[in-house]
Amino acid sequence: MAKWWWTKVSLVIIAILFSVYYLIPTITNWNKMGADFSTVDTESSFFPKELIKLGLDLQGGIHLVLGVDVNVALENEITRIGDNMKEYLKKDSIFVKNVDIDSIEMKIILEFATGKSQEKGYSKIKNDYFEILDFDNETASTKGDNFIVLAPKEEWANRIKKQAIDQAIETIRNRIDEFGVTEPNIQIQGDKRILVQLPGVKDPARALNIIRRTALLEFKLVDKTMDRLTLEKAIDKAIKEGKLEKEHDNKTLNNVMKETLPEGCEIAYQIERDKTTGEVTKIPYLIQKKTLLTGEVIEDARVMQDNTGFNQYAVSMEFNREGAKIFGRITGANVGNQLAIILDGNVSSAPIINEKIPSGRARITLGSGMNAEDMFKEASDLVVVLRAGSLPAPVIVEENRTVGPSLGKDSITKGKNALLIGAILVIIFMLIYYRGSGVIANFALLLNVLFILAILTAFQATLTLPGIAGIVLTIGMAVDANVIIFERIKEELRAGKSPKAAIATGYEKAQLTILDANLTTLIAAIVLFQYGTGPIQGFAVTLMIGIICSYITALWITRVVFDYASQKFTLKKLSI
Amino acid sequence: MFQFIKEGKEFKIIQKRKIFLVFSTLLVLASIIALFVFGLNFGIDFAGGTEMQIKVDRSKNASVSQIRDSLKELNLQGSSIQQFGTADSGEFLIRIESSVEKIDKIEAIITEKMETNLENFVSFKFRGGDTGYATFKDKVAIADIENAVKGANLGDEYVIDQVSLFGKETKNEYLVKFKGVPTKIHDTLLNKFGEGSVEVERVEMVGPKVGKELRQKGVYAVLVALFLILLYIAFRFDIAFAPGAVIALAHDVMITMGIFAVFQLDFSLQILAALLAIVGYSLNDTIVVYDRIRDNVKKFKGKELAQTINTSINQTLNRTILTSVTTLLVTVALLFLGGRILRDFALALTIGVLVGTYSSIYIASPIVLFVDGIRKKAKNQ
Repeated sequence: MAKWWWTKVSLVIIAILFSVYYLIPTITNWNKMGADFSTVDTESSFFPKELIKLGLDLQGGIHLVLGVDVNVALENEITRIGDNMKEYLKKDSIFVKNVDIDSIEMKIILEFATGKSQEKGYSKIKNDYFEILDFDNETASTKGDNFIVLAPKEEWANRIKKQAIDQAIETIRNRIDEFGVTEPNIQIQGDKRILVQLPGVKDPARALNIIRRTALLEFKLVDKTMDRLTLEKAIDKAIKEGKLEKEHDNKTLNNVMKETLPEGCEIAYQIERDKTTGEVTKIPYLIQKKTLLTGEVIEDARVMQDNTGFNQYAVSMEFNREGAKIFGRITGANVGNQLAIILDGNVSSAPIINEKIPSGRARITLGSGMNAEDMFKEASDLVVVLRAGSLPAPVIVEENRTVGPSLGKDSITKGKNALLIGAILVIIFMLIYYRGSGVIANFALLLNVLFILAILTAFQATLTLPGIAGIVLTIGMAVDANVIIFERIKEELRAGKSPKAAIATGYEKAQLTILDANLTTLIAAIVLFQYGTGPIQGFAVTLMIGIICSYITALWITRVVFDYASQKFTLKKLSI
Repeated sequence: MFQFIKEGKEFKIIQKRKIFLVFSTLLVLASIIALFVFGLNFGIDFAGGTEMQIKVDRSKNASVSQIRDSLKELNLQGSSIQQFGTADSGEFLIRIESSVEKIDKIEAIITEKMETNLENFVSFKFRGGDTGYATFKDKVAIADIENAVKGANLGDEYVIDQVSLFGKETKNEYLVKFKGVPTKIHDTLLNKFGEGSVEVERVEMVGPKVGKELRQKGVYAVLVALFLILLYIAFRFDIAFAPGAVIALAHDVMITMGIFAVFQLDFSLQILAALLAIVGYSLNDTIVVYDRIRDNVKKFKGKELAQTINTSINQTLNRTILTSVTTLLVTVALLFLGGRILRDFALALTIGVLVGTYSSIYIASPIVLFVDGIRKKAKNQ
C-alpha cells in the first residue's frame, strides 16, 4: 500500500483514540449526567476529568443577564467630587459661591464670588485634577465670568464605569459563594452587562433573590483580642505556610484561620480603593460573629457638619422604633468598643461607641487626624453604604432563564432518543440504497458523531438542547457529502470506467462541490454564532464542528477505506 | 445500483419553468399577506415578557380554563395560557407580556398615585421590569410610599417586595422592589391544586429592552448571512448565478415565516436559528446544481443554455432528492421525538428542507436563465 495511505490511516486511528480518550469520563458517568455533579468520580489521573459540558437547559440552572447602569456610578463620582470642591478650595482660601451638578451633561458647575477667586480656582484645579477633569470653557463663558465648568476626562470616566462593573461582579460573586454552586460562571458581556450562570441550582428563586437583594448591612462588634497588626501577621503566616492563597475570599480565610481566632469571632476586611490608581488595600478586623442589627432598621442617613465648629463632618443615622431600642441596648453595654458596620461581608466603617444612645439618632464621627476634605469623602461614602446603595450602580435583571432539574433530565432523554433514532434511520437508508458503500458511509457517520462529541468535551464547549438538534441535523447533512461522491462514482461507472478509476475521478470531481456546499452552511453557522447566546450558540457550535468533521470524514476517511478495498481486491464490481 | 430516477430520463423542468415561477410567486405573496394579516407570534425573546412552563400533577386533570380562572384574581395584564406538550401531560405555558408600552403605562399610574398622595414627590422611574426608583424633595416615611403604591390597585402583578433607602441623600431616593410574578403565580396555583402538585419546570424572563435588541440583531444577522452568501456565489460562480440563489433563499425564508404566521406558531430565537440553518442548507442544493451547470456549460459549449441547465438539473436530481430524504429523516425524528421544546424548531427545519429542495430545483436555475437572458439583451443593445 502506498505510504500516504498508511499515514492517513494512522492519523485516523490516532483521531479515534483521542476522541475515545476524551469521552471516557462522560461514558463512565453516563447515567449520572444531569444529576448532582459532585458525585461524579474521576479518580484516575490518567484520564481527563472533564465530562461533556451540558448547557443549562439540559442540567437545569439559572442563566441571568444583568445590566449595570454605569452612568449612575459616574454621576455619583462627579457629584461627590463636585460636593467636595468647596471644601477643597477653601483650604487655600479660595471661596466658591455655589456648586451645581448637571447630572444630564455630567458636569460640575462652580460659581465664584470674584473674578480673582475664579482665576485662583482655575489654576489650583488644573494643577491637582488634571488627571480626571477637563475644563469646559465654552459652557463656562455662557454662564458668566466667574464660572468654571468641569467635565470628566473620557479615560477616567471609562475607568469609573469599568470599576462599577467590576465591583458589581465581585459583589455578585461574594453572594453566590454563599450557596455553593459547583461551577458558577460570572463574566462581563459586552461593555455593561454581566452574565451569571449557575448550573444545577436547586432553588432558583432563592438564588435570584440573593443576587438581587439590596446590600446586606449588618452591625457587629469589633473584638479587641487581636488588633490589626496581629491579624496581618497571622494571615501572612498562613500564606507563607501555603495554607492560604494570596487572593482569598472571606469564607476560605475564616476556615483556614479558625484555630488561631478566639471563640465566636471571625475576620472581615475593610477594602479601600484608590479612585485614581484603582489600587486596593485590605485591612483586617477581628469581628464577633453575632449580628446585632441589620440595615432594615435604618430610616435615614445624612452627612452633617459637626457643630463643634472645627470643620468636622459626621454621619447622622436615624433608626426606626425597634432599631432604636436595640441600638440603645447595644451602645449602653459597649461604651468604648468599636461597632463594625459591615456591608456584604466587608467592613465599611468601625466607629467607636462613645456613649449610650437611646434616642435612635446616632452620630458617627469619623477618624481623627483627617482634613476636612477627606472627612467629607469618608462621610459621604458611609452615607451611601447606610442607604443600602452599596452597588455603585443599579443592577437590573434583563434576562432570566431558569430551567428546573427535572425538565433538564427530560430534555436530555428526548435529545438522546432523537439522536439515536435519527442516526438509525439514516444508517438503514444508506445501507438499502448504497449497500456496500453504504456501510462505509455509515462508518464515517458514526465517526462524525464521535468526533463532534469529543471536540465539544475537549474544548469544554457547551452542549445544549438545540446543540443536540445540531448534531442530528449534521447527521442528515453529513450524508450529503457521501451522496455527492457516490453519485459521481456511479456516473463514472456508468460511463464505463473501472471501479478504481471511477473512485478516483468521483472523489476528485466531488471535492470542489462539497467544499462549496459545506462552506455556505458554515457561513450561516458562523453568523448565527456571533448573533446568538446560550442555547442558540450551542446550536451554532455543534453545526460548525459538525460541518468541518463531516467534510474531513467524507473526503478522507471514506477515501481511505475505498482505497484499501480497491488495492487489496481487484474490484470488478463496486457495491454501490 | 439503486436509482430513484431511471437512467436517462429527463424531466422538462426548465421548459415548464413559468408554471413553477408563477406558483412560487403566489406562495410568497400569500406568505407576505399572512405576515401582515396574522403577524408573527413573537415569543418573549423578541417581545419581552415572562414565560412559565408548569406541570400540574396528572391526577388533578387540570384544564386551561381552570388555570385561567384561578389566575384571574391576580389581575395580570396581557397574559395568555395554553396547553403545552401532549394533551394529558399536564403541562401548561403561561405567558405574561411585558412590552415597553406596558411598563410605561404602569410607571405613569404609580407616578400619578405618588404625586397625589405624597408630599415633596419628584419622580418615579422603572429600571428593569420590577425595580423602580422614587425620588422626593425631602424625607418620606417608607410606609407611606408602600401605601401609595398599594392604592394604585395594580393587581398582583405588582406587589411590593421591599421599599428601602437608596442612593444620594440629596435626591432622597428610595428603591421600590416588586415581588416576582412567577412566584405569585406558583403560589396561587399551589393553593388551587394542592401542595406539591404544581411544579415550575422553566421560567424565562426577557426585559423589553433586550427583546427589542434581539429583534434588531436578528434581522441584521439574516441580512448579513444573505449578503455574505451573495458575495461568495458571485465569487465562485458567474455573477448571473447570484440573484437566483438569493431569490431562492428569500423565497424559502418567506414561505417558512408565512406558515408560522398562519398557524400562529411561536416565533422564538430558536426559530430564527432554524431559518439561518435553512439559509445555509438550502444553498447546498443550489450550489450542487450550479456546480453541475458550470461544468456542463464548459462541456457542451455549443448547446443552448436552457437545455444545458435542464440537463444539469436532471443529472443532480438523484442526489438532491437523496440528501433531502436523509435530512428529512432526521428532522422528522426530531419533530416526533425531540420533545415539545424542540417541536417548533424541528417543524421549521422540516418545512425549510422541503421548500429549499423545491426552490433549488425549480426556482434558482430558471432565474439564472432569466438573468442571463437580460444580460444578453443588454449586450445586444
